[in-house]
Amino acid sequence: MASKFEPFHISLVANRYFIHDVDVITYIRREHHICGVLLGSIPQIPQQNVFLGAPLELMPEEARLLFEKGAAVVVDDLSLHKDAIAFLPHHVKHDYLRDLRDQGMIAGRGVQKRTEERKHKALERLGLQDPPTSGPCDTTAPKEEPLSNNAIDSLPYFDAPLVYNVTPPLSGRILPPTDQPTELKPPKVPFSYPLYEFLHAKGYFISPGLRFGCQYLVYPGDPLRFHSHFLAVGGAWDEEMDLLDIVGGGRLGTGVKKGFLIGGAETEEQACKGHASTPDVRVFCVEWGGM
Amino acid sequence: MATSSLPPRSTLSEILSSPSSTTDLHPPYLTHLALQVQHNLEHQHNWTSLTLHTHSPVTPNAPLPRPMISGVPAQKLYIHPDEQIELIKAGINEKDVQPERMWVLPAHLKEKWTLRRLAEVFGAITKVPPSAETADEQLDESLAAEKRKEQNAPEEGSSHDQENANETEGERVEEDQHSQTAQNNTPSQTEAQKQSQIERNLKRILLATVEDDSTVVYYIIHDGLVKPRQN
Repeated sequence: MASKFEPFHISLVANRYFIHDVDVITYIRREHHICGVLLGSIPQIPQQNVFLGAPLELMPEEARLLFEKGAAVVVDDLSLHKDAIAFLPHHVKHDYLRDLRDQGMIAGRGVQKRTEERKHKALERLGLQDPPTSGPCDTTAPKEEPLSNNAIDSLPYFDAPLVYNVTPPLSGRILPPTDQPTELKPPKVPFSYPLYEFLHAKGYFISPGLRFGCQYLVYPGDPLRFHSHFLAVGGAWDEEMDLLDIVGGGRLGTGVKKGFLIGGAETEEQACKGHASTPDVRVFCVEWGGM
Repeated sequence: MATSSLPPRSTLSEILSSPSSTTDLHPPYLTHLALQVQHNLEHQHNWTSLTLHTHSPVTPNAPLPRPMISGVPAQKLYIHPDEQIELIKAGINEKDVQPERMWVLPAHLKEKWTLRRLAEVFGAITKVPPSAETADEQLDESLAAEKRKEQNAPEEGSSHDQENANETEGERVEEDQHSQTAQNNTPSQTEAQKQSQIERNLKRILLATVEDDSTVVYYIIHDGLVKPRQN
């Protein structure tokens, strides 16, 4: 079961659990039957929310399950970044900043070159001569050769072409992932976690159930291939449930060809015959009687 | 004057006010609830051979958590999806399937339920309810046993009996499972068929929820994971 991905990092950001690596996202779906919810949108078109990508948000239950299996370590993103940046060696920081400036300069130069070429073509079309400026066409040729660091540093400011400010989306280059993660306590989960664990152990895929007004949607296989079988609500063993909720859930479930499932962990040793494999969780399925 | 001009009482009121409608085992409102559901099943849904159960068929002397009803519906009420497929393959109409005796759990909409109480109900019933005659016999037996107990009457003794009863129950369930697994271990059966077999052998009850306006709604509750029907 050990894989090259394990143990992978789950980032804890503002009490939510994220996975950023697309390989890990596909891996946990394939091997651990955990789908999570994709959140990543396109920054320039945030209205586009039909097809989302990384990062993947995990329910606390999912994070806890992966944590308990030893497949993942939970990393507090904020403190990890703060610590790593604070103790970064000076030369690494310097190199990184210069590297960013290089990238910005290369990008700026590309834009400048295209502008000059457009201007040149437009003037040609009008039958005019290129005005004898600083000679952009001449300068492009030598600038294409790779600049050494010294060459950039020695360039006078006014000679330097347009420089873009680069905002790197990933911190992997400056904070290599080999860093020892700060391991946290197991993720806090609601009391319905035993139900989640029970269903997951039975091979079901579980996703958040808001769409059907329940806690979990329980699929018999990958949600891309199957409709869900159950609308699950977890409860504590002695938690009082309104009968109206059971009737309502049963009615809704039957209406969408699903079963309404209530369940929870038995808190005491109770008569639990027939549940020998998992004696601590009992579930009940509710369906409309049809009369 | 005023009382004489009242309309005659309904049949249900007659039933509820008859002295035989209460027992010492359960509070009257629970027995009345059961009788109301029984009346509804008999006259609105054409159920037959309805029986009111006060004692658990699993543990002879123990009362049920509340009075329950068993009866035979006009048509088979629950058909497992796999069984449904088999019926279609065999060309049998669902309406022609022999109905089975079912447990009915009466409840009022204003009640609160917990998982523990549901589990207690399931713990006190057998998969198939005993028929009316056997239930009566059992009741007589258990009443006789109770009388004997009252005569002998030590508190420890009763708890002892309970324990013994629990043990025998456990053995019985184990036996059931053994016979089940024996059936299941035939080599031709796949994992899915086994699962289906297990699902079909789970206990189920019909939850009858009563509203104050005398509406009764019926929902099937399975004791475990049972895949939904594709109505």
